[in-house]
Amino acid sequence: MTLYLLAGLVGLTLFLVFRKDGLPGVRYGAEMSALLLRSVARMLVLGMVLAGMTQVILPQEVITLWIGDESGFTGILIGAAVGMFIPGGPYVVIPLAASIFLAGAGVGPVAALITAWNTIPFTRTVMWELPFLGGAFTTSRMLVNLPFPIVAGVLTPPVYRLLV
Amino acid sequence: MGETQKKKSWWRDTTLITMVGLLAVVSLAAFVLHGVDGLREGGENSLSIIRQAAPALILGFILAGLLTVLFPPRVVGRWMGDEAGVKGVLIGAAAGVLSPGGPYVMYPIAAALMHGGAGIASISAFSVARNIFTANRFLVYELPFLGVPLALAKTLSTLWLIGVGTLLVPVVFRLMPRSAQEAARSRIGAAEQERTE
Repeated sequence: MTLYLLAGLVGLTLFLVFRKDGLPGVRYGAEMSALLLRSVARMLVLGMVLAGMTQVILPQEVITLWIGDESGFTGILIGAAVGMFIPGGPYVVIPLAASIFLAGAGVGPVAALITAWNTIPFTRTVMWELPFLGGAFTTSRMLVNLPFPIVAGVLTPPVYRLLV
Repeated sequence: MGETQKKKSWWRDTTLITMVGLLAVVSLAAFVLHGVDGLREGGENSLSIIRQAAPALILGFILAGLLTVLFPPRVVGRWMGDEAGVKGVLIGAAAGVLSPGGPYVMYPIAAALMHGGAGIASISAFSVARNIFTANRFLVYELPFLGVPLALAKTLSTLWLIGVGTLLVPVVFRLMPRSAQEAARSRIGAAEQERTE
């Protein structure tokens, strides 16, 4: 389903780009795609191998105990804390989150982990946001976003149950 | 964008070093715990992840490249800079959702917006939307890796937080110490002066 959706979107944007800038536009778009892919390709493969290897060593009992479906609010807090300090781009974090989910982690903790990594990431904030956008803005955004992972951890499981 | 990115030697790339280090530690642990079989199983897992994700990844990168042609970052910045009100906020949020690439794309754009005179509300909308929901991240990573139910449930449960963040960040910003606020605002002011002079 994802693939058809993506292919449809690619077709649509391809058409729009062609109508806007003709063939040169399409060629420029392809160059940009190649540039983006080249800039992350190495990390992408490394991230997926890391996720595959992690699956082997993840102790299922520990995961189920700490962040399994029965772990409740504590599990959500642990998920959020892990997500906050996990470094790296989506090519590392999403496959890792999927591995943890397969190993028995609950929906709430996994949603909290991903949302924490998205909204209150420690390294990205210190390395990128602070120098580029300054202390006042960064602090305001962090303070407002602080409860977001908990909200995600609490709200996602009921929605998930409606969808499966 | 491409020409400003400096070529770095691989040994200076701290992200790469960290990743290789992590991979080495995890592989060693797999070897110690399960021997050669552990390594083989890990390799097989990796291959199946790659095979599963590759088609979506390739389509996603094609889409990201085409989107930069349809919405060049500089043009989007101008839209947000000129429109200070609700329109600027909406364009900011849309730009956040649609913009491809990692932090090395996002933060320079946001900084350029700040220097270009976009309002705090537009910049908040841009960065909060970008953090909560990115179309590219959703289609390329979340759907294929997490599966449709989990990816969709997480997104539906958090999408409304874009509105909460966009409304609240400017409010909290105004509560910040005056000197810090002025430091951020003076950047905007300086950029505006440069433009008018």
